[in-house]
Amino acid sequence: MKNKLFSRGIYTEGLRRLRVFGLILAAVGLLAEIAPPMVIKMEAAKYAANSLNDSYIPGASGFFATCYVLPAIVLLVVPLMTLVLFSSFNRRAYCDFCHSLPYTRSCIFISNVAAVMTWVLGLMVLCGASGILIRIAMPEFFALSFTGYGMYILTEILTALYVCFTVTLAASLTGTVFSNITLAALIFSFPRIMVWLVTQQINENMPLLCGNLYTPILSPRYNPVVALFYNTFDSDRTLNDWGPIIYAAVICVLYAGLSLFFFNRRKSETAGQPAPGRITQAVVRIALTMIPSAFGTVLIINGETALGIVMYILALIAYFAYEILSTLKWKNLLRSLPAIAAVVVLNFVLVGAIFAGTYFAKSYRPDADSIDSVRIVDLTDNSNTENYPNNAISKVKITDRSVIELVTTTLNNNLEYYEKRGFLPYVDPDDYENFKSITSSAYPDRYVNNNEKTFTEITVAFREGAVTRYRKIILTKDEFNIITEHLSKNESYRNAVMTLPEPVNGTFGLYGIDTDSDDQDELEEILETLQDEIFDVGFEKWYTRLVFGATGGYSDSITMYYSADASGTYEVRLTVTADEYPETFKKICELSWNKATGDLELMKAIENIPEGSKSESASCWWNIYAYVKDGSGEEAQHLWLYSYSTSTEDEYYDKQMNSAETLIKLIDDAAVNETEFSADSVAYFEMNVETDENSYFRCFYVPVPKGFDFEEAGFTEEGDDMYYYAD
Amino acid sequence: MITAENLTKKFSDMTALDSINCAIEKGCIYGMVGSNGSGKSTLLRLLSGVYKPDGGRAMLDGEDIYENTKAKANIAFVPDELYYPAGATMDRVAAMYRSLYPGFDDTRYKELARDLNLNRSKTLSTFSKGMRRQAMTVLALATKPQYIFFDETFDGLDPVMRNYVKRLICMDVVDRGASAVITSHSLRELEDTCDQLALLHKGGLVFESDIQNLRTTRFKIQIAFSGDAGDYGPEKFSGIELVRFQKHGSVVNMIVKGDRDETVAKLSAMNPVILDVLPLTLEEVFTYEMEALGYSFELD
Repeated sequence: MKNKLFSRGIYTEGLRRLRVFGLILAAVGLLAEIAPPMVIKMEAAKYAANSLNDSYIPGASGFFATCYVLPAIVLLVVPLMTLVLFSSFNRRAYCDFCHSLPYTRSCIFISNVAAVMTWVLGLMVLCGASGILIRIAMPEFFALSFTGYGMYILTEILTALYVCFTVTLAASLTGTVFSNITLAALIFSFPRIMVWLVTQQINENMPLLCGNLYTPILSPRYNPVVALFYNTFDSDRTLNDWGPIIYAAVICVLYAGLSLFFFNRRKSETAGQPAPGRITQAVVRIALTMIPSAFGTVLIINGETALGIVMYILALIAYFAYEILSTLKWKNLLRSLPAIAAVVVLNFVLVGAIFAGTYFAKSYRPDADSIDSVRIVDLTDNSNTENYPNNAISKVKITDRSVIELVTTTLNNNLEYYEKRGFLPYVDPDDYENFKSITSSAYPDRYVNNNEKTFTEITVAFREGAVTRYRKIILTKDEFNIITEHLSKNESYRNAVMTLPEPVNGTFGLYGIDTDSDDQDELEEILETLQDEIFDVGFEKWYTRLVFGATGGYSDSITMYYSADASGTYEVRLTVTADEYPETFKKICELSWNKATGDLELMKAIENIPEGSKSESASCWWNIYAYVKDGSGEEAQHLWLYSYSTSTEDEYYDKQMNSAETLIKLIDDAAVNETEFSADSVAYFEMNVETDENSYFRCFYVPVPKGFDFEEAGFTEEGDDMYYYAD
Repeated sequence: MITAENLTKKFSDMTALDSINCAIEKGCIYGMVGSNGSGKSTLLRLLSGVYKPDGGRAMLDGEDIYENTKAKANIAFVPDELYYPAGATMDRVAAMYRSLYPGFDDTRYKELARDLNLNRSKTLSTFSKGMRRQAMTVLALATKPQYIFFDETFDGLDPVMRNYVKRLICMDVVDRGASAVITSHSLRELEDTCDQLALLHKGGLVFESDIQNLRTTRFKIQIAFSGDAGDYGPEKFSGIELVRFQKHGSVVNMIVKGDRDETVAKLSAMNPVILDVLPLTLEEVFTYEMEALGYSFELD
């Protein structure tokens, strides 16, 4: 008989042994994939039936939104199935039986892994396909996009293999289920936890570092298992990068090789023992103990001594508890004592690594002349810039010497500041006087601490030869504007900032305005208008808006959003202001106004407010924000009118009804006269009307004609007493 | 032929087998006995490729058995602790064997199961211990291996079943030239069945011999001399290999190892008044050999 690497018999037997698990999980997975879309459909129908708000924007249903059971298969099913097959080797009888068969150990290993992966891939295909098909059948709720499927599927498969080989490696080194699980968990977590602890502390000691953001291989999320896990809660873009995929592939091959090696060496007689020898047992124990003890060490470094000691005690408990639980022999406690010294030594090594890393990080004081180029990789101070335009501008290489000089000098100044102060300038006002006395005289008023934001933090990539280092720097607004001015001359940079990302079909929405699938085409046209206005307005204005955000409320600015990639991880949010982007703003207002006036039931309900509110069960309230420019077109007012539901006996009832009639007249006149929107004067209505039969909640813009008397309607300046009604 | 050459196996600090040398010919039934913990099961596992030797070699026709699929295809091993999948029936296990052993004979399997009145569609966990052993023996025999190892298999079978299984094994040996290796504590069983016998003790091979030779080379002698009740000990019988020497009055009982005729001739030359030669059972051989090695227990 040839030395085969695969046995159909062992493979079939493996499939059979996993059959019960596989079928149950297939049923559960199928239900999990199909049920939620059905629920969405039912809920949307119920919602639409109960109110006029049938707005539902189909979210970009990319890979993870569609095949969301797949990560669960990878994270839960794979280790379970692998453990079921490979923990059988913890039984002497099974071990002896397998090793008496006319197959090599490699053949047994590979055939069993093949059985696990067959079930896993089968479940993935079943659940993934059912998720896709049901969404294809419901296009009004799901905007399916297949972008990135290739990479995501590859990631899922590689991660599944990675998980499988981690468990097989653990099972090859240990001989009880308890020790299999413990070692598998350690193999998953130990390297990442140690790296994370060291890098976190280094970042803590040197806050101008960028965490692991630009050395992603050090980030826990580079581990595909961690990335998939966190992707459940917060879309993780590392899953879309080749780096993590290659990393996962390398780890797979490494673990597969190690598993095979140790499985071949695994002695049948060690089945049922926690480890094949004392050294392996000690290594597992030490690694397990290192985790809480390392946390304790880091806590003590940060001054949390009491907590640190608690962690050390937990570490000791873990140390002895593992020995007892794995060997079930009390006498081993004494024998295991000497290896605690290794834990102590490793903690000192950890401390050494932290301090060495911090020293090297702080030592980086670049000379502008030695920097070849820089990139602005993150405008982190504004949540709107988390994705766009960072994604585009971070690729633009800046070789302008004055920009390089500025960012290099700023970095060195920040470092000096940090060394002297022990913190970076997010300081409270009381500290300002102290700050002035010790900072460089070249920048006496560098960071101003008042309510107005006049400094910002950006992340810069400094390229020196073949090495790139990433640092945060803190700039005043003026300094930032210097950079902006230089960058505005960089054609690539301009284009990157000013060119809006391509949208995924059907994913448009407006914060604060109800839109649905019927509005997608119109919103896409509005986006094109915005694109044109951005080019008209120019780089500086748009860039500043992106970095420093927009003030004001709904009445003079609105945020439009859409997905720029199918997975939904890249959502673009664009603030459209009335004064800077009037055409776009106007079109948005028109869209919402047309929707509202086209909704006859809504209009009827609003008309009926004075009469309807007489009913005991009815109620209504509204929030109206108005943006009004004065005659010169320069000064602008933000006005507000608020009401709340009240009974006819309430003292404010009459006032509220007067106000309601005025607003109704405003709406009627605008509709009848076909009043055009002007960016100089617009009102944002947020109305909630409840009748005996239905409830109507809608947000929409209303064109305000010139000369409208806001005071008569009861409006007041925003910020005044909220309970103010029309007289 | 299966051979063990200085075969050694260690577990942690203990040496389970220490430089064992033995040979199992084709077409023979090889019995293995020994004290508890002597290394019988360990030796079987080494010879079937389950364990890797720590020293020496276990070979089939000159090739190492460990991780040798060609060699292991000729070996079936029925261990003392049986394995079968949870909830499996005989047919299910047969299906597994069919896919794992290319030589599995379905017809033979069904015939044997029928002859032993084993319900093939009943789960094995509902079988008694003895029936499970029967079932696993049937499955092993159905694979038609060249060498089949039984590790204390007979010890769980009733006498009728034991005889039947012995006959099956003999049939295989005669018809196909197969070899069987049987470990047991019951020397009585092995005496009737085996051609060869090996005795192990504390990881070492005490002796390995064919049964007939064993019977003729180990015997009991009762001897007495006239008129002389004086003290004499084993030194009187120098030149004869004594395993045991007991003197009650003038009568001496000895367990002797060696050529019977030669020994009788030597003793006759000493003019005894009584000289009786009595055969030994295998059990007695085992007991006296172990006693000589210090393995005996007395009640206080």
